[in-house]
Amino acid sequence: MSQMTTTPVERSPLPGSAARASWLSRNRAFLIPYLLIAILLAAAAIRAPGFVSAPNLTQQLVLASYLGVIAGGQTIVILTGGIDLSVAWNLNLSAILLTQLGAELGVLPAAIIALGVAALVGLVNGLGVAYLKIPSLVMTLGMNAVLSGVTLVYTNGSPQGEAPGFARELAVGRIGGLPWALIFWALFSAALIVLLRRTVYGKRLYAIGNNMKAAYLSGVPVRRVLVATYTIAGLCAGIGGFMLTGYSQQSYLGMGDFYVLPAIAAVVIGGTSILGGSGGYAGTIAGAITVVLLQNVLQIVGIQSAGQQILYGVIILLMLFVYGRNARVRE
Amino acid sequence: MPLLSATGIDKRFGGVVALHDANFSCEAGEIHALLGENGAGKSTMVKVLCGVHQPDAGTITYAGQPITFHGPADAVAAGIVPVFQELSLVPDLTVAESLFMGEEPRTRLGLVDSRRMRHESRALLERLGFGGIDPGALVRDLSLADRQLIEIAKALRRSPKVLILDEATSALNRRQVQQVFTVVRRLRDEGVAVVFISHRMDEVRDLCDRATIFRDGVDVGTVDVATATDDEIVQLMIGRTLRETYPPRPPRPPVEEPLLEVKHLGWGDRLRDITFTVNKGEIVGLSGLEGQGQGDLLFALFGVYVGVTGQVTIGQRPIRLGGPRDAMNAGLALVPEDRKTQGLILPLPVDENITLSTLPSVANHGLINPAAVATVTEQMRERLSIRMASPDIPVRFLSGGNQQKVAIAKWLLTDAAVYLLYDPTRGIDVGAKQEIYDLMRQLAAAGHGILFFSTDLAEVVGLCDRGLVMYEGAIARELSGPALTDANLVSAAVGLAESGAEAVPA
Repeated sequence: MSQMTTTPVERSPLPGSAARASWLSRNRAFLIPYLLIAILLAAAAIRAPGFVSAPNLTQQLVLASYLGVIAGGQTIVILTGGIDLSVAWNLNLSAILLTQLGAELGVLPAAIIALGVAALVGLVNGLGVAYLKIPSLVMTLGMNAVLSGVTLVYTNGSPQGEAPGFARELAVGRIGGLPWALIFWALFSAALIVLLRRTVYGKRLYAIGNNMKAAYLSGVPVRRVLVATYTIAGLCAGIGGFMLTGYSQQSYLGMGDFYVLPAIAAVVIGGTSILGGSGGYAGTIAGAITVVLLQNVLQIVGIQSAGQQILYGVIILLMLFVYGRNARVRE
Repeated sequence: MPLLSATGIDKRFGGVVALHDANFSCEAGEIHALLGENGAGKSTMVKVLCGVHQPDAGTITYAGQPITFHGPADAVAAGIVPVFQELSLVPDLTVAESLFMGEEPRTRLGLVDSRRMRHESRALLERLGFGGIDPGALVRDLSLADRQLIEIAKALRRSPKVLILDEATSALNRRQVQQVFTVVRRLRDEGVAVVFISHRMDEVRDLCDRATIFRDGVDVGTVDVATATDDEIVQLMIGRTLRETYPPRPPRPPVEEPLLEVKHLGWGDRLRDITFTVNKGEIVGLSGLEGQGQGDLLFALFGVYVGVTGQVTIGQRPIRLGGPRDAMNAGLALVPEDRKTQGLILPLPVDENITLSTLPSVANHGLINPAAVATVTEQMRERLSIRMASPDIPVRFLSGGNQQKVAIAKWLLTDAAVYLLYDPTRGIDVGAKQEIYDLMRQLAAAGHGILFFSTDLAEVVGLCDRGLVMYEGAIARELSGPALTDANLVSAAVGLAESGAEAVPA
């Protein structure tokens, strides 16, 4: 009884209207965070006029760069339809390896080992998700627990050493008045955007995020792309760990905990669909700035950390709700 | 007076007419078969009768009264109970729980009375002759056949006045079929009307009193099964109102050059000992009623399934059935059944869909070259006359025919040796169909091989060099030359021997 269930022959809408509609729907989500940034700045300007000054705004951008790098890894994982909850302790371990091993082995070997371990953690996540078909939420949550235990044993509860000079420069140093962190973030962003938009890997990533079955049937190496994605995400967490160590001069236990939810919030505020397949890093940049501004504006208005946590949760749930609705309508 | 009758039924789905002015009636105390090829309208009629679909026009009369069903529950409440082939059981429930689902007996405390449920289930199963099934067993542990028996038992527990069996025996072996038939005959003798749909003509012969034949959405005749000949029935099934024109078939070379050779391919009990060859330059049609394993065969060849046995060679080289990527590298292409969920990535632009399988060829060291993407997209647009506003609009804005062309274009770029096509012209307009037929002929002429599953008999007869008819997971017959006729395809599809029916003139 085939013909019965067949979808009727569709008429395509006027070509122009289709193209316009798609431009709008593609960019609407992307524009929201920039609008939010404007509103937040206006609110801050009214409440605390000093907030909207060049030095302070630069400082806000530097803070956003740490979150932005961590959220970069989260962006590509979310684009596949997954999520990486191991960010917290992966970046923490990488920061601790950098400071502790830095004292024992020297800075360069320590940095290589720290990033290598971060990437390896991502690789294992990827293998679990791609080959063992473990849901990413469970795989990375489990990984996070393992890493927190490993870190605790490794440090005996108190990490040693201090941030090496390059990490401090990266986080808070300046060259000709321009923060190194922003220069690095610009390069990182350019690389990630090119990776997503202009490479074979990026095209395959979007294909998988939109429709894994169709991508598989089209000969896309789905597993390899997934493993690569989680590995890159691990690397991003590691770099984020370096930046945070440099910022606080040292490593400490639990330093990643405050970056998991904000990073996810930055991604979804930036318009990347939590269901995967649509969005990109340009939105996440705006999302990261929004989240950092939000944190500070909330502080100015007198809402403390508990209130902020509630807000992240609400934002993420709100975005899920909005995307969930869209997804239903699109079917 | 008929117990249940439907008169002047119209039913359309979007633009597709499934039933037009169709009639059906059955009487108390008869077993009435519904026959027809794919898409003839028999399943739609059944779903109208049991309240799954609401007709767009027409009336249903039940026990002398006009009646309207707002949903399947209304029909069941009235005593019209269907059993479908698609199993509706929950794997984690027991047999007894499944039989009583939604109507569990309660204890005085309001809890489910498991003991009574089990006891009554055992009695029911024994009465029906299915006593071998343990009421306490979990559905997941039962064989497919036993699950089907449970479905039937569940329907019978409701003491139906009209019992509808839609391919409900297809998972059963001969002995189990006979058990079901015994029960069905007893019900008939008690005055129940039974509507029976099966792709096995021998079952219809064995069981049914009358048969109504559907074709192109309308009932074309009702016959007494005892007196009608096979040829009369097949003739009613294949008469055809509309014919496309197909590109001419070039003569076959004196010596065939095998391209795709499949030997003893098997997959569980879904594909059984399949052996065939597709020669160079040949379009081989895959026919039969739907769900006889044609889709499984294409997926198995493409490496999607695990545990496929047998040998497959392309141009004498054995290939590994390790997945679509292996298949692609070995020179296979698959245009899958559902272009919306399997063939295309709807939200992505046309050019990204077209280049998805061949991305490395439009890239340097992993970096995409937009000019190369534009060039190949334009080549494909021209070669297949894909109509689109621009290559960067999402493919979902294209019409069905143009979407299908994009799904095919993706594989043309891989320059596969053998194309596996799953009903590529389903649901697309006549013009696009014509273009796809022409393309298939061109590909064949260029030395490719094509294995082409179609639910439309006319396509197999009109376009293909040979036809393979699948029946219950095996190739039942191979037809070529003058023997490749509607009549022969249909009789093989319903499990009959060669038909003597005249081919309907084109």
